[in-house]
Amino acid sequence: MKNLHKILYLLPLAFAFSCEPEFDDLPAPTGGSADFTNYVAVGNSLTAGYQSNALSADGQLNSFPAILSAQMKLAGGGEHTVPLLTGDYGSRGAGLDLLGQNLIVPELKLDYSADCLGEISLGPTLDGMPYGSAQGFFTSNATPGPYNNYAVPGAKSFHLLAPGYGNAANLANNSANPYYVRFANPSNNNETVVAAAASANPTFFSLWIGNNDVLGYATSGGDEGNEQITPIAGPAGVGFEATYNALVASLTANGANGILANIPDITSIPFFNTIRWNNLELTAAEATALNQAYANYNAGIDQAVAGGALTENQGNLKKINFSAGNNAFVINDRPGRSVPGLPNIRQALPRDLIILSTPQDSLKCAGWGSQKGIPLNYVLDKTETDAIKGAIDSYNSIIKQAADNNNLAFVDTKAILEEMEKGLSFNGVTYSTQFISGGAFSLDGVHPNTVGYAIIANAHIDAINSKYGSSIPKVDVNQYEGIVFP
Amino acid sequence: MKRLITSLLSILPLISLAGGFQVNLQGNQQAGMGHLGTGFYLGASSTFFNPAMMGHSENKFDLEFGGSGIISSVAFQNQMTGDVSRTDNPLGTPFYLYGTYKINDELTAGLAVYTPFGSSVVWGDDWEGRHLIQDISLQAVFIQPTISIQASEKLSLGLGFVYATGNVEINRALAFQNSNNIQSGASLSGGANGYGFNFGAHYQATDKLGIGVTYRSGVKMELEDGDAEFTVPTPVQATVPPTNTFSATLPLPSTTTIGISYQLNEKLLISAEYSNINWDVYESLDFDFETNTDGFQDSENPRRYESSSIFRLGFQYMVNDKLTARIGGYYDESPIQDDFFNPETPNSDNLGLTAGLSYLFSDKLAIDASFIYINGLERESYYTGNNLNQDFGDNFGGKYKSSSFIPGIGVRYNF
Repeated sequence: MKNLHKILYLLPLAFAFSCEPEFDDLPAPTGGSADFTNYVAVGNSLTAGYQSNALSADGQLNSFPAILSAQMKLAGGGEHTVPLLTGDYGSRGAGLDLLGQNLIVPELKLDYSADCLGEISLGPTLDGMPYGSAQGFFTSNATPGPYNNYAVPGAKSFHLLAPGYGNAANLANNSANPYYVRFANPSNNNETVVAAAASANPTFFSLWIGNNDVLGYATSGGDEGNEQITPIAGPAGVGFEATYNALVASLTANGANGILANIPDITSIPFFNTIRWNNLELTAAEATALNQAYANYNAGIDQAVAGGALTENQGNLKKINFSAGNNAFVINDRPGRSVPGLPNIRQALPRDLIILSTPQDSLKCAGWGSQKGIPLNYVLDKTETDAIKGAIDSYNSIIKQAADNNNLAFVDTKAILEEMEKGLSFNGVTYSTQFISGGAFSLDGVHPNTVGYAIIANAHIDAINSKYGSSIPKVDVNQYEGIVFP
Repeated sequence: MKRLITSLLSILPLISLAGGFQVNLQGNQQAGMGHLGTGFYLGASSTFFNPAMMGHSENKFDLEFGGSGIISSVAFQNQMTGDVSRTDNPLGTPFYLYGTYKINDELTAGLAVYTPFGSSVVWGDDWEGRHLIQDISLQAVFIQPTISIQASEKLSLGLGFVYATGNVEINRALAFQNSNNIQSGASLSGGANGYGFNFGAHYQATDKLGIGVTYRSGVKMELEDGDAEFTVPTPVQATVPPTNTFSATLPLPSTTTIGISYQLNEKLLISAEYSNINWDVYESLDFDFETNTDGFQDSENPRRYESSSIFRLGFQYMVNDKLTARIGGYYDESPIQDDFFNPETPNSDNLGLTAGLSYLFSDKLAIDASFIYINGLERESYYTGNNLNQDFGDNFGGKYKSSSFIPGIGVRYNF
């Protein structure tokens, strides 16, 4: 015990050396039974990296396949070549005008603007003037093929099987897509998207297609628009089932592994849930004035009920009544429900979805939704949402079946969106499907932003790892760009 | 119609505060031997360790004061990427001050000032868990006037009233992004206080065998009028007020200890102790903000701590008349469940090894020195918080490991 204090002198030294805790290194990521050396992504805008209503070079470099391939690279993956947009289109983005004026517009950014009442508020605004001519856009491509991303914004399932979809000569009759024209095979510009992707000889592929088969119908207002829901039945190139199976057959022809993504319920995206059915805010005086204005209309409905033209229930649905506070918007009713001599209108119900591109100025200053009905092409009613949901369910069972039949990985993006409706948390940050405040959707309310694409990339990684026994590391979602405030 | 941006609730992460932050450094003699002292007398520091024994002194006045320096390091390893983050904690400086006055053979009065709870964790502004915690500083000072009585020849009892005062500061990142890349964040700070008591009983069964029991009550630290500062992009300020105030309650747990000591021979004493800490009072930490908006509500943060135990063993050896040497160890269970492990309090099961020396300069003056090495055992834990059943999200977590090196020094004086 005599030397005890000498030992004690040494103790601090011994402790100092072990003061920094250390860990064993993790095993290096592997590809398991999958080969990621040539990963090729096939799909639509969601695979291209479209966000805030445009495709830009920045968006392309932050697409979910770009994020995914960077992680695959850690597990033996190869380079990822993307047909990048160049010039102004590359930097400001190139998107199709949602108002249907056939202009090419730059992407949306969050900025202040004045509305028809002169009130200044923050919202999505175009990043500069629309492009005067679309010509440069069609040829704007920085890199020669073959590529690792054959995604074409706007493509429906059957478009990927359509010859000439990338031939500029077909633009005039709307059977080509400018987003594909710009990178279609120059020596064979009638080549289908899926043939081009297959000839890139993927060792691994992702396929996420079918969203536009319902989305085009939905964003153009359902039955009143000029787009239809792609039917299930029909030959390849027409019906979803045969088309989808043909796409998978092409991509697996050389024995490639891959992952199939299903279709989320698009009626729960911000585009359909931001302008709520009852967002009409009225003062008591405004409500009284409107009620007076609708007095004759309501009397006419009562008459129609009394005369037996409408049942009492139908009459109640068509009558208009306001009170102070939040009110249901007035919307146009379906053609079959009109009463002669009266405007064919009703008040919205909770299940009626009003689309985000409904002109705000018309709501605020032109009496839409209060003095007159919101046109039907801005509203999805229950018949239309039922049709959309029904089609999605059918598509999804076909997609799941294809994954099982071909022994491919499967990612349930429908379940991701359902979970995000309740709030999806990553490392302490919670994202939701709320427009802007939810943090994961871009400013068009349809496409994810980069945070959202990172979430999708992670879901792909989980599904691939569990199917192929690989260990691709996931990404930290919070490090990506989300909603950027001015 | 109102503008579209009304609710920002979902990207405002929840605010959280610390737990699992008990500091067991209330006497350098005890610290040298596993930090135990319930079953036998070691001077004025008994005011904390077992107030029943204050009257065991042979002096009229006993004074004792001292402190420690906590050099701690916590490391985190992301199990997906293998990336390692480390804390850069400032030196922690708990201290103590005790005085006892022996009024007569039956009655002794004492006063204790000590720091039984505190935490100082700095992960940095940019680390991957920044949305849960960047740094936290928390300390509580207990002031405890105490009396003890000698109830019988063998039994003594003591009771102290505790006034606790403390302060806390927390910084964490928020997920708002803006075009000039200013990091959004929340900074919460405030002072809190509360009341409690410290009860002890000691029974000297034989000359050699002593048994002690103490109950240090829980203390509800009430924080009123704390400052909440939010750095957020200008457009968000209508929803998240840049300056706000808040109130919160932080429950500090009670500790029940039973200790036994045995004088093996003239030189060697052995003692063992068991403590139970009712950390299960720390169910949730809720912040009540003075100003709420549609998108900015009060914050509820599950903690769900569980009761924990500490096992201690210590030896004291009188080398000679002047010099006493001590050695000991303890095993201190973490109260934090693996699903509710927030890096604000990166507390693992701790294995502590201790050693100490005391030197008597005169009959009146003694110096105590101690060294503690704490090995925070490796654990893999995550913070699920309010997201218990998510399939696609990622709860923050990975492997945690820590170590601390704590030298301490104290002085005893009597007259």
